[in-house]
Amino acid sequence: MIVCVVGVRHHSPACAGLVRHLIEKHRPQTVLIEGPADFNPRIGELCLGHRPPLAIFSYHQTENLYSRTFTPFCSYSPEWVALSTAFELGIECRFMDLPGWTRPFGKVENRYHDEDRSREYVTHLCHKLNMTGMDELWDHLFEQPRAFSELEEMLATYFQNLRDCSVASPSDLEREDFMAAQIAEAARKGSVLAVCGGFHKPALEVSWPTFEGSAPELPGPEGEGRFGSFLVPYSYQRLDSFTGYAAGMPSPLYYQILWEEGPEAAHRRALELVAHRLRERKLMVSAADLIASETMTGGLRRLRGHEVPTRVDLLDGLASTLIKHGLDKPLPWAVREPLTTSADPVTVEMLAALAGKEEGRLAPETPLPPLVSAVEEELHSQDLYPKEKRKEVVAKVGSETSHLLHRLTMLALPGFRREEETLGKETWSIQLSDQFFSALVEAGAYGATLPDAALSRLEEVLEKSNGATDKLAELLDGAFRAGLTSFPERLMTLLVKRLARESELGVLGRAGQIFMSLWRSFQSEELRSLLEQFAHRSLWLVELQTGPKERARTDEIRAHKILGGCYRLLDLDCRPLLDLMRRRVNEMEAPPAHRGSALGLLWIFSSEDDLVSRSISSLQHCSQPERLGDFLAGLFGVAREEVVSRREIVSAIDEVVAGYSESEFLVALPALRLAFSYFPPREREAIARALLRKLGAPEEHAWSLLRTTANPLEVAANRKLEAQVDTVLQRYGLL
Amino acid sequence: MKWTYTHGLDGQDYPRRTQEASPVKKIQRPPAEILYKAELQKLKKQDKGEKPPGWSLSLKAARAFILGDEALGIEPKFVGHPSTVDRAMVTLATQRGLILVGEPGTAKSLLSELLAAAISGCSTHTIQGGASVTEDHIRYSWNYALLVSQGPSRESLVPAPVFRAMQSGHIVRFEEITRCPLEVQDTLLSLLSDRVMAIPELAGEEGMLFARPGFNLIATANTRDRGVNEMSAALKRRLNFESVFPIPDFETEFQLVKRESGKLLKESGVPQGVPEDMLEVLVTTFRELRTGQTREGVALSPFSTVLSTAEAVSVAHSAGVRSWFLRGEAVNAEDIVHGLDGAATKDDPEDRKRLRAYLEQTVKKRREASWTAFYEARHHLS
Repeated sequence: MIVCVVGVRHHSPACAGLVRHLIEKHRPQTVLIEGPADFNPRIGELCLGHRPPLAIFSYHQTENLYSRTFTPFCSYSPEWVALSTAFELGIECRFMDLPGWTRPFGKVENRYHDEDRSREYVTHLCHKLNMTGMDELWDHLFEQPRAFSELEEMLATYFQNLRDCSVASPSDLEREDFMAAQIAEAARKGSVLAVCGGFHKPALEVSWPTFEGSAPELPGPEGEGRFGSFLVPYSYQRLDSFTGYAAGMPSPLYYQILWEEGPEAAHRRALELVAHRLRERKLMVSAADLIASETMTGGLRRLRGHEVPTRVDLLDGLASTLIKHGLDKPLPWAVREPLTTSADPVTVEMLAALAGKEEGRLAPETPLPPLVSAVEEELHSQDLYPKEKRKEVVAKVGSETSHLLHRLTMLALPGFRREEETLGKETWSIQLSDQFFSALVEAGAYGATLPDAALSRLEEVLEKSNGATDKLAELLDGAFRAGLTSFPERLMTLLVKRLARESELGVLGRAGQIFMSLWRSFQSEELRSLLEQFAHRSLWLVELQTGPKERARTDEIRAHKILGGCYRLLDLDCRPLLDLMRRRVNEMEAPPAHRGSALGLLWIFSSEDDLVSRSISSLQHCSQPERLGDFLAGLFGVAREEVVSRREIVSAIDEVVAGYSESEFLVALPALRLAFSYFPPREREAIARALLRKLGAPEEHAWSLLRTTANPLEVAANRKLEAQVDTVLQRYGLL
Repeated sequence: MKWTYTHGLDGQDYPRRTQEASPVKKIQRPPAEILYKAELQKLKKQDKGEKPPGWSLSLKAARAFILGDEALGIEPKFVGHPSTVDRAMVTLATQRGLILVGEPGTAKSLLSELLAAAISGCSTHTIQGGASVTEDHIRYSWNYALLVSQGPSRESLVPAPVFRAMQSGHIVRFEEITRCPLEVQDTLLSLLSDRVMAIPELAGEEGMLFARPGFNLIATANTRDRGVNEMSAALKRRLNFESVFPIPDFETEFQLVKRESGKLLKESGVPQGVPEDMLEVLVTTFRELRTGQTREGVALSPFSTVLSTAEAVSVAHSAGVRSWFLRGEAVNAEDIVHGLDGAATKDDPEDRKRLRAYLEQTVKKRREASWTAFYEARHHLS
């Protein structure tokens, strides 16, 4: 053997076993691994006795560009096994791929992510073998107990076909050129075993012998700026493909057990883990269910021709016996999609049990992450290190200091608190303790510089959030305040998508409010498009809301107000808005508050002459006691100043209310209270004056109408007494 | 005259196939085991796999029958995830019954029929669930003339589908099980767990009917009927649930609608199928309203009416018939709107509003000629 190229699927235990076997068998002089070559001078750091999962984190930051790539390893990654076997046997070991900051990795977050290559070939194989998806197919073909020679042959055929059926991208070719050069260079000195993604194997085998000349130098990053690579702990949760974030293989814990203890133990332990987890979460699993699921799994195993049950056999068996209702979506392992909040709880818990919560730990002697010195430097440069115990700082929104402090809070570093914000200025209190430094070291895993770490943290929060529109908008707010200009496109794209799918007007309104306040401080094209999307979606949702008996909801009224504000702020063409609002005012099926809000928007935008008469006629349409208050709440919530300045409208309201009987008034009262709560006391007084004027009473009593001096309990007791007297009088025919 | 027949959404070329088998000619809708007799015989002959007790095919052969096998020349009959079929078959080989759940029109009944035909060679032990179903329709009843003259005896007993299936070791199919009252559903409890039916009116050995190997139950229920009748936890425990979903990808659904509507139109005497651009509009509309998401990523309000592939076929069929017999020309956007108006707004008047909003806000923005025509035809919505 001079050169042996081993193609693997990243994070496949079967491939890891094959790699170990081949290294032990051939004892090559050099082991080359697909990984960041810039880390080679420090490759020794990888054998300090860490507990995987861990990752090499590579970053590059210039003024306008930020890129980062993780190269994650778990105990059963073929690359990790190659490294540890080489270290054990004293074989020279190097990474052979381009560094993470080079062009081919521009937007790749995870160097070892499971690429969706040649869908046609995989679909064809699945169809032929009656498999449902890539993960099931892989386990069926390769994760079954097999002799190494047979496995090697099967993998070679599979990868050759995969390559033949797909087109390599320019990035692939660039990386392959670099890797071929590294192999050729090492082959001159002796035998080589190269471990690479299976897709590259056929190309590398052909190209390395044709390479002449010396290996190219390690390319530096394009442009100035900070760059580097260092080790960080990683977690199974991030590796699991069901969390959907630059993911690797599904169910990492299951594969770890498969790697360490073999397939039978993996099956047994996985069943235990699932049953334990479901019972812990109070989801019913009886012994009979487990027996039935084992029977199912056994049957599926035989039908699918497996020597030992695979992960999908186990999950299918469990799903068949434990899920006792129809599902809205296919099982997640059949379609390989990140789990959504609407997924069935039993499936979610089963997958969580197999994913595991393991987090990696670095050996104590691993060099400190660069974030520690970067933060200290920044705190000093901004003069934020408290000399005494506690320090108070006033910072302008959008200033460097404000950015820095927001980034620190985003990383949940203790000791920084924003006390208040007034007129674009924030007051912060800073108090540092020992906990700050230990938390800072841990936060080093998020990145090398503060902006970078804050960004990673933001993305992590994003992953954990359930994706609600208003929560995403809050994250966006945080990102802007922290001045993260190289702001994750993902969040924007996600928000645009979420906005397009939001079905709650109130939630949409909350998000809109955040966008508006952001727009006032930081105007940008992206924010404009978000606001436009918000306006577009709001129109759609408003159009479809029905419920003539629905009570007013303040968040929906606010959404109308914000919609109006958005049209005004962006100076949008308001014709579609006006068309819709005209329809809504007259829509009998619409909730009264919506009709009121629609009228309010007409007051703001429309220049029609008949607005007063239109308002009075719609007021009369909604004059039933159970609707009036809601209608007015909608109207006042959107356009109280415009409406109340018109005497005709105030007196029309007065007439309607005056026409109510006592019991009708009581029915109308709660909603009327809500409606008038939109007025500050001074405006309420103005209304009272207008009413007194109309009645011909002295206006100076207006204020006393707003506030009663009598004890409300006494008033209530007296009214009760009066009612009793009325009843008695009625009984004797005296009333 | 050529015999023609269309059956479910399985994409078979039936006229050619069925002309060979003479008994089929006389039946309007032959069951799967007759329709696919040749395929079943071929599979049985070549079947070397192990068969569960009472099964006429091994699991692998049954899978090939349902999902198709190019090498053996068996055509696919069910479009869906293969693992659904795997789990369904393995369930039937165990002591638990199977219940197929899903939206109407997702080919649950077809799958249940195919499974029964493959496993037992007989798919006709069928109970159609409904409010009027009683225990007698499930277990047995009596021939009263004989009962009066002879007293209770094996001759005067009239077996119902479950009785017959237990006796012969076959699969019994229970369609729309949740449409039956709860207490009627619960008749199945002891039959499924003990696999024995007591006939207290008969004495001696005849008083107990022990199920022969191969007996099991396939029930179907549709998710829109959730509220009709609940199912007891005890019965749920004896059944494995398998969800059946609408066809996941556009292309497969498009081809299926094209083929099936083409066949139906031919049967109705219409010589031409629906033009492809109109079919694309129809299938896309169905898919978008069904999933509540447009191709631009905008969410729509979910429809209450069921928009199954079968329904799309029927709209295409009616549009074809309308255009040909009323105007003598090909289907245009107007026919599609008319068809949609009837089909997509059956259950809930709100759906008409949703459809109108879809046309006004989503379709309006699309620039392709067929979509513009569709938008222009929106006034035909009643």
